[in-house]
Amino acid sequence: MAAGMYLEHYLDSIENLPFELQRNFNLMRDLDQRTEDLKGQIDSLAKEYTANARTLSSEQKLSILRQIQQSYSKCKEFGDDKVQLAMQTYEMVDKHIRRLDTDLARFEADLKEKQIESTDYDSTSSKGKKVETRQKEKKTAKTRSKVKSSDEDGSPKSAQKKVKLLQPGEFNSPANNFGNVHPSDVLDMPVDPNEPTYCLCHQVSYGEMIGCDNTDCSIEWFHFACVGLTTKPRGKWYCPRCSQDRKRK
Amino acid sequence: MRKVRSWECETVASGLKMGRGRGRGRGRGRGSSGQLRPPSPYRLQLSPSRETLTYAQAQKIVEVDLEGRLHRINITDALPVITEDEMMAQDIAECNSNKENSEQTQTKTRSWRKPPNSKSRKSVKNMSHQNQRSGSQQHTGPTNSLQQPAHHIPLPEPVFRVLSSVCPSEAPPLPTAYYRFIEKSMEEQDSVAEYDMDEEDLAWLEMVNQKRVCDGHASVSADAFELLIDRLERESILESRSQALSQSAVDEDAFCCVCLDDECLNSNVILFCDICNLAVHQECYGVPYVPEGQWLCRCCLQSPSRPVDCVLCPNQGGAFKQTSDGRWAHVVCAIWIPEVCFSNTVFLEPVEGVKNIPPARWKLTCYLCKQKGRGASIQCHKANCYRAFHVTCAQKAGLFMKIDPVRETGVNGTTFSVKKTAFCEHHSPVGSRRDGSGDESVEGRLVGGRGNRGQRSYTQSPPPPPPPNKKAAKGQKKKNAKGSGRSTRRSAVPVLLVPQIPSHRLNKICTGVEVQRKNQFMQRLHNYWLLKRQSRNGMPLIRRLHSHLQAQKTAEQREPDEKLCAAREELRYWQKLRQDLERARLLVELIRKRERLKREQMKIQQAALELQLTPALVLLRSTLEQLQEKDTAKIFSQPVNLSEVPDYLEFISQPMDFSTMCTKLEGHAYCSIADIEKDFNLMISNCLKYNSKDTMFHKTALQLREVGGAVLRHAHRQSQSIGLDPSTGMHLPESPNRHGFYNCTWDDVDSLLDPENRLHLTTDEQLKALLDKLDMVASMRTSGGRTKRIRLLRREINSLRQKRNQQQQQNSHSVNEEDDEGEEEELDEEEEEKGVKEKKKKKRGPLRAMSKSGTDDSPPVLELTCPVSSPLPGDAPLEPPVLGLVPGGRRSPGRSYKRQRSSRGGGKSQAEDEAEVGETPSSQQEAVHEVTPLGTPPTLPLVGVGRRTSVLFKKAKNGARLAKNKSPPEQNGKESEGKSNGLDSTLASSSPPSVTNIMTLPPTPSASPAPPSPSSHHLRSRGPSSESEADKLPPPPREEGLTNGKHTSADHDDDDKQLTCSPSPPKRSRGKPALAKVPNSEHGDICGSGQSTLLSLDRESELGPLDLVWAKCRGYPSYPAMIVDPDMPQEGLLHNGIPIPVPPVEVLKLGDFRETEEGEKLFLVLFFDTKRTWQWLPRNKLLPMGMDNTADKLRLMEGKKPSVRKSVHTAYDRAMVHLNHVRGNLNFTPSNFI
Repeated sequence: MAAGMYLEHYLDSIENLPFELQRNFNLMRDLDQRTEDLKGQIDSLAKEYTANARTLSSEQKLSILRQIQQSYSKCKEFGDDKVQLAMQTYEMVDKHIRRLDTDLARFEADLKEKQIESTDYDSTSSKGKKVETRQKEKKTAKTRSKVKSSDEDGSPKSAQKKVKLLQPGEFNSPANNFGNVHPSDVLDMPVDPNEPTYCLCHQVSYGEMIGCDNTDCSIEWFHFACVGLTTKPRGKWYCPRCSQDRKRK
Repeated sequence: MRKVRSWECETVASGLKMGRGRGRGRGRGRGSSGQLRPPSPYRLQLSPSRETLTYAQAQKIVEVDLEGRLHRINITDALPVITEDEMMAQDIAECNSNKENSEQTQTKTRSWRKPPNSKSRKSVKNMSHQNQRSGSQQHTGPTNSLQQPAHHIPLPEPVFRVLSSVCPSEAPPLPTAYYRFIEKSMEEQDSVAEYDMDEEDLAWLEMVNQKRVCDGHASVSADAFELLIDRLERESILESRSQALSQSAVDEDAFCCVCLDDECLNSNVILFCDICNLAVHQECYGVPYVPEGQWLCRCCLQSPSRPVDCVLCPNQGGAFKQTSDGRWAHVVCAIWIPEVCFSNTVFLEPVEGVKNIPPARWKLTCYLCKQKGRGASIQCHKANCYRAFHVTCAQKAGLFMKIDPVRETGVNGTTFSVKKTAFCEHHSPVGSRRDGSGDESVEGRLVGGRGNRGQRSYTQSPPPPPPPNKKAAKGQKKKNAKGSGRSTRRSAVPVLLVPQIPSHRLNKICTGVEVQRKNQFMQRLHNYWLLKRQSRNGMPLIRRLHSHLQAQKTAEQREPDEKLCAAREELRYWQKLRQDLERARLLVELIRKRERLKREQMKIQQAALELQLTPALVLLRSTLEQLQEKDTAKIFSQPVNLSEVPDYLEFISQPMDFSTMCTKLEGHAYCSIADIEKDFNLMISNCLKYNSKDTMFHKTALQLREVGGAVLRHAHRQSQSIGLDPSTGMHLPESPNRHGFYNCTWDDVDSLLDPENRLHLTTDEQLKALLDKLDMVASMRTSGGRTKRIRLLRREINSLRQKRNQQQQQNSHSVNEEDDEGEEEELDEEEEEKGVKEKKKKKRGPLRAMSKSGTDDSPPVLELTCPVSSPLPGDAPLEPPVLGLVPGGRRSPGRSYKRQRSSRGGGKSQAEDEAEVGETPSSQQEAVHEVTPLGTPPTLPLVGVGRRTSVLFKKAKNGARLAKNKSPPEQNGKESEGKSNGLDSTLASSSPPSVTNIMTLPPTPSASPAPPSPSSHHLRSRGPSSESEADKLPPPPREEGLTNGKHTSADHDDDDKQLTCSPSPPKRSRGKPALAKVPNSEHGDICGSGQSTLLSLDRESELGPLDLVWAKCRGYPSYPAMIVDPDMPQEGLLHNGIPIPVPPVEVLKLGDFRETEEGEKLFLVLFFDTKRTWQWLPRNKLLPMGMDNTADKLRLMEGKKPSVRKSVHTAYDRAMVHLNHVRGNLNFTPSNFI
């Protein structure tokens, strides 16, 4: 079966994913551990400083403070590394997911064809199939909403915008294949309680979302409706908070 | 079924038992010893029905434990009410009667038990058994009760009756909602034996058991039998399923083999025999109601194993019915042969009248099968045709046979009959023509279809029918005619009906059953089962399994494509994988967010720790940042570049700048705000010291001192409120009491505003207090009172500062006096200042720059000091600096003339310079001194001499500034030089009028309010002095012009110099009292060099760049504008520290064009409108502004519309602001002008 072929390939490719995930997580954990160690050092230094603030000469103070500062900068480095690792991991998983999505779409198309071919195909089974496709739709809907939140992070912001632009088209096609996705379908989905929330409304991602062009934005992604958008704005876009901050500056 | 039923009975029984048990457990405490304890009367009463006591009944019983005895009272029974008196009596009676009572009951129950009803006996046994059990359970109960004789409790007299018949009351029906049907799962059903024995089985089992008993074996229970049969059935089903061919689905082109019609109506459907797959119409076969489940044709039903032959025809197959004499006949035959009929016309059976068939009919020879003497034939209905044929043969051949239902009075009178017409081949009618004479070809075709059908339905049995052969033949033929499936089915009927079960399976089946001599029994049972199946035509004995089998078959059909199924499975798998991945992604996303947050947290932590460890540092840092922000021009951000100002260190011993402060701060060199303030002040004072008064740097420094002071004061307060420990730079253990700095009221402010209230304070203290209040008020919410008080405070502060400055001046003056007497230190100081001055000079032009470079390595030397000075008594105080100025003979040539000049300029120029430097009090003091005797208030602006104005930047404090400013001064210098040559003479002539002008208008300037800032005051104060000088000594115009312009003439003597200097200042006068002032002087200010005087003298003469003019455009009233030099440097220009806009390239281009067009010189003017428009205008369109007050006013009124006038007014204001800025009059307010 042709479907089997590409799916087999996919299996091969995904085989390493758990190990890579584990490796990255281990790395992160390692970094975390080192950060914690540094924090401990900092704490002890700070204690020392406060205890001997009066007796220490300014040079000694300076050296302690410098040490603390260095530790902190190291911590920050580690933090950056961790974030980087997390992004990398995310992208890795995301890549796999996207590949699987395309493969799945292909597979489903194949399946559909086959079903049309097979002559006796009574109502019950078609009903079952319908349920299946419905699930599928949901899934694609989910993916669609998800991917939006997915492809930022690693990629530079400028590219991001483009990606975002592409997304609707990219995802409309599968959606058309499975019929229009009802919004209720999306809502029906079992919501993972841990699903990260975005936007000012602190909801999970859905529909079209826009990313703040401020790289340090704490929220990153916003629903179009929540920020009063209907179409993608031209040029850079900053979320209400970031634009406020920028104005203040 | 029976099994199930019995099971149900069991549950019911157990339920009953439970109910009873409950009742017993609760109530019946019976002696375990077996003695029946005397029951309470009510119990006795109930005892007969105890066995059948239902749950509901138990519920209705109340148990009372009296004196260890249990009494059960039915709630429906009426209890007699007993008084206390009665009670005693009854109690005794009860006690007595107790024994009797018990006996009585015993007898009673016994007597009740007596009836020989087996059922009741059983139940009694049951009961006693139960009693025993319950007794054992409640072992202690009875003993206790026995120990306590109940004598004082009166019990009611037992009244009871024995019910003859038992009628257990029905439990009330439960609501339907309580019942729920749960279908048993396959496993459950499999575990239960579904087979129910019938009589046959019972009989067989009995027989077998008898035999077994005879042989000395244990009999086999019915349960075991049922179970085994059930297992056999299941096994057979499995077996058959494995070998079962997929039953073909409903045949679309099935036709009834009676009428050969495939028409299928709802009321008359085509039925298929479940075994032989015979297809018949309901009506054709006499099946009025379609049976549920299986339907078998008669043939299969009654003679499944033996194929039947029709008595009326030689053909086999088709729909048979039995004749009344037990033989078989085709339904069609029975229908068509006239003598034969059905006894029951609804069920179409049995076939009757075979005997009535006349022998002649039997003898007819079928022309189709040619067989003679076999079966009865019919003849063609055509009148003269005698052709005979068997009915089935005719059907096979497709002859025309038509049946019309007709009510016919047959032999039996009321028979419901049909009219049948059949024709031979030749006489088959066309279409519906009944007579038989018709178009043969058409008819043939028409019947052809049926013929085929008929062919298919029947097979001819060979004349001597040998059963095995027949079967085979039939099978083969069928194969040809019909589908193979059908024929094989037919042939396989016996096999299929009773699937053989392999012996190993049999063994497996019987493993679960405990039977003696198992194998033998199993063999017998198997045989029996086989027979039974056979007798039932192979029908499964368990119906459910059969239907289930069929259902499974259809289920299998539902998934015809295993591949598809597998694919779907696979899809599900992938989807699961997708979900897992999604979860992974979610997880990673969360991790990413977490890490980001952690990073943020780290930053915050760091900041927090920093605040904790070094709060002072943070405060200082923010203060320093604020200070730096105030320094918008970044003048103080970097250290002074010594390569650019090599002599800086000669004047400034301790350079200071923000970057140094930053490094010091980071190096923990500052402990408190005071430290920073010190450095800040040092920085400012350095700047003020090094830079002359009217430089941009000076002004910036002053401004910075103002705003920086506020910042520092604020920081001070903050540090106090925070409570910092100065030694550690950390928080104090406890925060100090916040003194309510921001809590003071207007009253405090007002009281402070009153000078009387702060007399006890020194000037500095007062100033400080006022500044504090100012800060405070400024931080308040905006209100009318606030702005007013701010203004008042400002004024107060300014006046205070002025006062202080005057004090200082006086102090320094006295010092200077001393200096005059020859104090070396002072001289040194003065020398420094002189150096400053020289530096300024150097910058004026290339020449100077040259000379400066010459002096670079040789800082001013102190050699020439005192001797040169003090040519005039008034100038005496200024002398020392002058002395300092003179560098001595070692200087370069460029320097020498300067030296001369300076010496010539004497005290005067020195004073000016000092005034510029601003910080040096000595010069000021001198000015004041001179002014006061003259009686003129120190308001007349004077200070800026031409030389100085032309040199916009004397000295740069730091490198950046220097670089930036280098070019403008040069240019300025150039301009002034270029013009001054020509103008010097005119300038000279102009000076007298100006002087006179000033003389005529002395009071006005003096009337202006006291200058708020010390610097401006200082500047102004300088004015009168020079003026006074001018007054005293009418200047020789020529020399003046020369000096003003260039200081090129080296031959002027000191006196000359002084004189020349003195007239020029008036022209330069700070334009503060513009209205009152002579236009002349203002112009002089603006145009930098002596040009202005030209203007004042001759209006038709040229206007110079930076002059303010009234420019008249066509269609517009005269509008204030400024003349701009089109050749000004592109990087911009500063006019006395005021930046002059650079004309855009387009404007310049346009100017060139216009100039060639007009053929005359055009001036580039910049209007003072909001947009700062540019325009090229000829000379005649320009009128100098600010020269004549009335002229200005006329221009202001020129506009016809009020809006235009207003705009002109604002522009005029703007122009005046500019003017005043240029003159350095900081306190100028445009409102003063209008």
